[in-house]
Amino acid sequence: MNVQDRRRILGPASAKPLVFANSNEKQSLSALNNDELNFQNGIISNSNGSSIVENNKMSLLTLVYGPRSTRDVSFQPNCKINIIIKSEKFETKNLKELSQFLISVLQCCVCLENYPKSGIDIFINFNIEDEDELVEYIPALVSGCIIALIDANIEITDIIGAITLNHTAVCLGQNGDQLLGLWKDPYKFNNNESGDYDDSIPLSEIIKSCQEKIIVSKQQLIRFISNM
Amino acid sequence: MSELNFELPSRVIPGQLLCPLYVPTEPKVTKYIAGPGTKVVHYDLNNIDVITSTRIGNVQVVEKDLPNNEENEKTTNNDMMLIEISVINKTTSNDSGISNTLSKSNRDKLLPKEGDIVLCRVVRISLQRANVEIIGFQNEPIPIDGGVGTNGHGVIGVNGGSGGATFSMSQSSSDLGETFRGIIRSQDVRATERDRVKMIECFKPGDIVKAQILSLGDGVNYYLTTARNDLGVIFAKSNNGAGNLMYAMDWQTMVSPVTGVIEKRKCAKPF
Amino acid sequence: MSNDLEKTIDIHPVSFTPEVLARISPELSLQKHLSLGFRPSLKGFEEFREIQLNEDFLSRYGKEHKDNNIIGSNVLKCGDTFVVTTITGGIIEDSVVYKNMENELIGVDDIKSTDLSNYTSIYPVVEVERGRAGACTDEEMALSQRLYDYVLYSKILPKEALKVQPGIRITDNNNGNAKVIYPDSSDNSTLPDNVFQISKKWSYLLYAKIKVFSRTGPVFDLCWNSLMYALQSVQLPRAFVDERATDLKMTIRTKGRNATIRETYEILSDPCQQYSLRLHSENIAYASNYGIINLDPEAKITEENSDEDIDMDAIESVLLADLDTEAEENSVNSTISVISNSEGGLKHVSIFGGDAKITPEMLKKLLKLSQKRACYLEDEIK
Repeated sequence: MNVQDRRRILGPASAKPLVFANSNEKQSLSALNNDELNFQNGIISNSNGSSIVENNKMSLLTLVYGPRSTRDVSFQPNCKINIIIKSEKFETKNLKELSQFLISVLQCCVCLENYPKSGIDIFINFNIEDEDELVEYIPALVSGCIIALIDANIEITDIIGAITLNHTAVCLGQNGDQLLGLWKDPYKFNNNESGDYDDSIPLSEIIKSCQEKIIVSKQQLIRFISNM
Repeated sequence: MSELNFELPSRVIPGQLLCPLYVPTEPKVTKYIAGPGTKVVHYDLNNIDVITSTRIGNVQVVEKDLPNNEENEKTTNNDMMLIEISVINKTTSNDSGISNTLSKSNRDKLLPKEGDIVLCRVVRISLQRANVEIIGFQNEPIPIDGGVGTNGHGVIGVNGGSGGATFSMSQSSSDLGETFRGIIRSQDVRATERDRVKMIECFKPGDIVKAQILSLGDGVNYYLTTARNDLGVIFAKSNNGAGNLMYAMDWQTMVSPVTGVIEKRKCAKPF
Repeated sequence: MSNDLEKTIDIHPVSFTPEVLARISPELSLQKHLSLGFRPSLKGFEEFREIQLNEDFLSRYGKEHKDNNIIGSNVLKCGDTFVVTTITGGIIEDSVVYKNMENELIGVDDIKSTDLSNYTSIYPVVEVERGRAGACTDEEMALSQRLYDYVLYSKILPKEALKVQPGIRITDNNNGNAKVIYPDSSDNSTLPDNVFQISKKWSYLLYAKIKVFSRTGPVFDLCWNSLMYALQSVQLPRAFVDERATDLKMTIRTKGRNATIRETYEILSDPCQQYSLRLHSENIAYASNYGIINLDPEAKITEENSDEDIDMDAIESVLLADLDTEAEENSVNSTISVISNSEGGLKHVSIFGGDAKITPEMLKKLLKLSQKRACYLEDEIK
């Protein structure tokens, strides 16, 4: 590293991080897999709204700040949504792209016109990230944002949801009738090393089965929100 | 017409459908208007407009008068009933004994709107206007901002990293979080003798002022007014904030009971 | 004039709800609370917040087996605030060749030596989540620096404990099976002695990432305590080099026609074998913080409506333990930070004078309190 970060104490530049040799215990990991998501809200007292969404392989903490004033000089009739995702594991460029994707999805349901000249900042922290693919986090990310937004008393018109199937995340609104977004991890298009990616399934099929699945997962979310 | 005898839900969550815009009831057709906490959404699948809830709360319906009789006669022949439907946040009376000071429920308001009474702190005075930052609504617990202590200072001053501020973060030097800012122009300070207002005799930096929102203003500032008896300085310290707490004697003088210092302010009538 | 003054007494004072007053004037709100005998957070003056610990479930050696690079962790919850500390490791080639002879001569006692150069520190990066993006704040930088310094000067982390004793991975030529052999393992007698004669020395480095969520007050003591807990959970993996790499030579720099050739090794960590980090546990201490504030005689006037003369000159001050909430943080200028162990041994004390009247009794008291607090914190981990 040529440019030393002088704000942080990073230690000697010549050090190498620990590299673990390949372990043969990977199988036992996936056996533990439990997809059921658990939700929690309102744990953070210095943000307007917050949520924790976790299962065995991930724990995401979502914080909603605002609506608060922006630095825009001109009058903005609608509010802006910003999302920052913080992760140790994934590359920043992928996270930036993912946050743009999430912004576009959330813009479909947040009542932007209720909050003129302000911004809603959403910070998402990946606290446990044992899942290897970004696409697997999207259902939890979307649920986390929705819960945190409701926790912050920000008005939304729809409880949207996402389902990941065959390495494709599908975001759906209006009980699955409205397609809001589609995400595939960039490298997945060219690279099929793991072999579990079946590219023979047409996209329409995937969307269809996601529409069926979303009803179940949304019911779980609604049950939680009703008790908030 | 299956929706003919539909029932409104009592407790709703965001995204829950409440009712279509028009319901063909007897003897009049009912038209619903989306009030606070609701929004009209178009459903593509059925191609209809419906009102959906946008927050957690209880549904409230209020019958409204038809706005303009003459026009309505022409179009709908008085066969319409207007009902405003809104969702009111649950109240926090019986949660768990001691109410949490940071309790997040019961905060319908997140942003100031025109006509709202707000509390603000004076940050800058010029001949023409006073710049303020809005720190709260009149009777409501801490609103607006995303944070207690988001910008707190301890042993070390913390105003964020230098230069790193992207986002909706203000540059305000305040020790509160990201506040909304406002302006009280000299002609909005009081209702009488508006041309003779001397800003320095009305406000001092650090004063807490009760003011009303005139307009949303520009991108940065709300425009505020104190031209009413009950509006003005409610909390001030003498000697530009270094001295003791002062109390209002009349609408333009404040006195510190400890030191006897008298200073000029545009005071709010305290009762 | 006196008429005027009487009139002012008639005027109703403006009243605010406690939340609004705390927002408008944190200082007055604090003083009002103090005059009633408790703090805005409803704690007593010398009351600490309780803590909750989640011991090491984030690391690869934690309760749930994970495949990550974290070798120690801790989640500490204190009031509303919680601190997540994760410790990762690195390996560095020792540039200064150890004076092997010397070390061996002095032997084990060398570790106990009080010489600071025998100790090292952890490289901490603190992040306080407050809804901001961009560069780290002054507070974060100061916290990281303090943590680094105090770990070093507390002499918790001996360099000796971080030395790597690399094993060697030997690939059997017959069946291609790889096997890792360590110098201290029992079956190394079959190997020639010179296998472990690697001319390079390595040391582990420890990095801590400390994330603070829901900050409500000063957080140094929380970060420190969480770091202490996390350090005690650290397991260092055994490391090995591949047999084939032991005599690999590599050009690392070319300048014109001159090339510098150096031996390099790829050093790998064993995913299955690890051992606990040997800290100097008698040097582990826990932090607590205190504030001293002068009571504002004015805040009492309205409270008691007393006729008695209030002596404005007699300044009274109170000691507050475990500062929390915005009001206390902003209004209390005299702060004291203590790192103490359960026997009352002090590792660090810093006193910021501020404007309050600090009496020797208070200092005695707070030292006693820190010892008690350290006892409590020490018991939590057992």
